[in-house]
Amino acid sequence: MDDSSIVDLFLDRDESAIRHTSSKYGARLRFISYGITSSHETSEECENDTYMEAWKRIPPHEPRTYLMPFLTRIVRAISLNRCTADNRLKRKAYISELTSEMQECLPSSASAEKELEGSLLAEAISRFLHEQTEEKQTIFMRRYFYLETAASLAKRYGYKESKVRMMLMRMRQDLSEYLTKEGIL
Amino acid sequence: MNGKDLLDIMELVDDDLIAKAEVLPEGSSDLSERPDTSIKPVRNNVTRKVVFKRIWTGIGIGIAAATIAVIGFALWKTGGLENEPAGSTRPTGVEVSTGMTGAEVTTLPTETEITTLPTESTWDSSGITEFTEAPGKVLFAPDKNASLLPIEIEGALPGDVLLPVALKEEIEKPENQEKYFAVRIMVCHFRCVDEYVATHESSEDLSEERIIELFDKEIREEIEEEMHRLESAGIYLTRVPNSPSDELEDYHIYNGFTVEGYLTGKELSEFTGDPSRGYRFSWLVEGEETINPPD
Repeated sequence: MDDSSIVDLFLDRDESAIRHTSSKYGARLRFISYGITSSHETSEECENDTYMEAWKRIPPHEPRTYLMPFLTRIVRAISLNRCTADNRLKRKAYISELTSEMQECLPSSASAEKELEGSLLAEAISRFLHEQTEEKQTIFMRRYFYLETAASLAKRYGYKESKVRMMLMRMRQDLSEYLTKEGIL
Repeated sequence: MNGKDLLDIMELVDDDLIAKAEVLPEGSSDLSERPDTSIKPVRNNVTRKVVFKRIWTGIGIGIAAATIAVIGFALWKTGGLENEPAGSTRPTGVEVSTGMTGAEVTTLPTETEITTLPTESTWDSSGITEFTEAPGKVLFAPDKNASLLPIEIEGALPGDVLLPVALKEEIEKPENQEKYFAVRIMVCHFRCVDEYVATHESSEDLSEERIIELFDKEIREEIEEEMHRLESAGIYLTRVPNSPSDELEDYHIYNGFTVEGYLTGKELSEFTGDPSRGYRFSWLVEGEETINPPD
């Protein structure tokens, strides 16, 4: 079933929408969640929570052309929340590491403390990423969206871990410069 | 705003970025749903190595093969092979000729000179795109084949100035001396990790992370220095941000950066590099440029 038809089922409040979504995207959502939580049990729970959240959000959203990214965002947010909230998951330290890395993207000036609209910042980050080579784009997204470890990225790309870390460090510095230059921060 | 906020905000980036970076679970039954742009398979480690070894090894093998053929032919002509008993040892002269391997890299010319590499493709200059709107007239490469070096080269050794054949031919034409060519240049500088560490280890204990940090600082200084040198020579280029640059490889620190700009045929013909660096040119196809044409 195509995405548009699945969204129609959601809009019609037809519960088979969840079954169809699960059969089409379930494995991928579990996989994404497992990458963040490192727990099979939790990733299954996050997957189910994702369907519930999608049920709540459609309508008003109608993600006919972007159903998978729409679900991906939900499962990521739910999985991240579970990591920080659930003490059983030994992922807090890892999330903390990623948080510190992202902190480097923010200039230390006082202006960085101002409240920013998330979408504005996200647009700037997207523009920055679109200017990167495809490989760098992907590595950055794998690290900070899918929360993949540097070791795993190194294996995936056939690089040494040190090189992946260096690429990421350079990108964070460049992103920080970019955001400052664009007047975002 | 803190790092955690930024990590959360990442979920709002563009859909295509999310889709491109997605990795499917192994044995996924929904492979047909995989977006066309999603992440490519694991890269072969070998392809990421500095490719010069491959190139020079290839040239070495070619020369060795040619030498063997010549010696074989000479022996045949003189009847040497006919007289040679079965199972005899190979003539020693052949062994000498097979010596050109990756080690030959060290014998590369150290003086800066324009170098072109052979290509099998036939160059047809009729397809050049001329950007006539700008006062300076910019010539773009007609296609991707003409824009790049004919073989895969990820950088240039010290003293090398590598230009695509098509670009070399065009800049030599008298009528193109004053016309602008849109070019991108990778400015390269190789250094051995061991040497690099030796220069720093007396002052501190170097971890791998620390080497990277020091290296990062150093390359930024090198970029400024080289850009200043080019500007002093009247060549104005713009740094392409976030382009593939320095890499810490197994045995080398590959230190480089990429610049882009519009140089006249004359400037390109007379281009002089810093002998300690290598320059790999590509001729941009229209639309590939990231900076505005010259006024």
